[in-house]
Amino acid sequence: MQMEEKDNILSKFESFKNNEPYKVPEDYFNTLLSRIQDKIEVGEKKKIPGWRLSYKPLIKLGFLVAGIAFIAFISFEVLKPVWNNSYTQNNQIDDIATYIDNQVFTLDDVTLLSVTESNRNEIKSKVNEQNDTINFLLNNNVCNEDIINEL
Amino acid sequence: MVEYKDKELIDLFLNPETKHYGFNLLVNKYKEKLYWHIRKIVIDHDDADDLVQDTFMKIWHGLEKFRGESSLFTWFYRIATNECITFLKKKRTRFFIPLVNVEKELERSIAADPWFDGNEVQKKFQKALLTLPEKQRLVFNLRYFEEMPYEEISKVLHTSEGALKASYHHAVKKIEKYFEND
Repeated sequence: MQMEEKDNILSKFESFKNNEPYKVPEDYFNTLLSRIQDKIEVGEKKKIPGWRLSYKPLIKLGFLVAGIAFIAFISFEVLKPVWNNSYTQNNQIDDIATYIDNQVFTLDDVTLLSVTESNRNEIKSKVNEQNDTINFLLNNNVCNEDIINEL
Repeated sequence: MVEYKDKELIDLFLNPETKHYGFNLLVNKYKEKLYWHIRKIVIDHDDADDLVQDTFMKIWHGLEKFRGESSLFTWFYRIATNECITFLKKKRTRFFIPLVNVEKELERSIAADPWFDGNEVQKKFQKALLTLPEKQRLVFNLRYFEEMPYEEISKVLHTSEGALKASYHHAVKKIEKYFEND
């Protein structure tokens, strides 16, 4: 029974093969050729030169590269102030750290010589004062305890 | 009217003096077959009209490069099929948003089509065909309506004969089930 039912369905399909359910407007196929010819004629008139066709992919690539460059430029312009700030801050910190390091660890002749005349004289007078104090104490037989207390 | 063989038509087309004459003969020979093949896929007459013209435009521009690896008609069918697939894809992803169901739209155009002349059973049969996946529907149309050998269908759709036979078998089963369920 099932086989017969299946055969019925397929046989229905068979009749559809030669019986198109779709229609076309009258004279459609008779006029189709002339419409295609018109389209070809229009296409021929508008024909793109061969060199333009062969350069089309290059032109597309050019636009793509230009687009990416534009986006990169805009991004750079927007982010530049932020970068500059952080760069400046970092540089300033580095500069300060370097300066400190140099002051603490690099006491070279130049630095020594750069001590001003007034600083030198100040140091000299203090040293002289100390010498005078020591000489006074020694000459006047001041006892050790007194010296320690004085210092 | 003289019936030219495909080889003769190609020779006429390749000769610059007889190019238009050869092309006209080609159009007259294959226009109806190509039109109905396209119409069965896209359903609507106006869409089929546009696509058959586009197909012949592509044939006009590409026939010089035809290498004869398949029959001329297989090559025509391939162009027409690709035009239909591109058309349906565009319909599916208009404005970058996939449409819910192009097949439902096609089904509606059967119901509303002034150029549909079938009875209720034929209408139902066409709706059953629209439930098939696009490629399966193509296989069924080519095998069932055009009675194209699997070898030729495989050249049109770039699919192996084994896969095509399986696809056709499943298509028939689905159509039978559609009628049983209704």
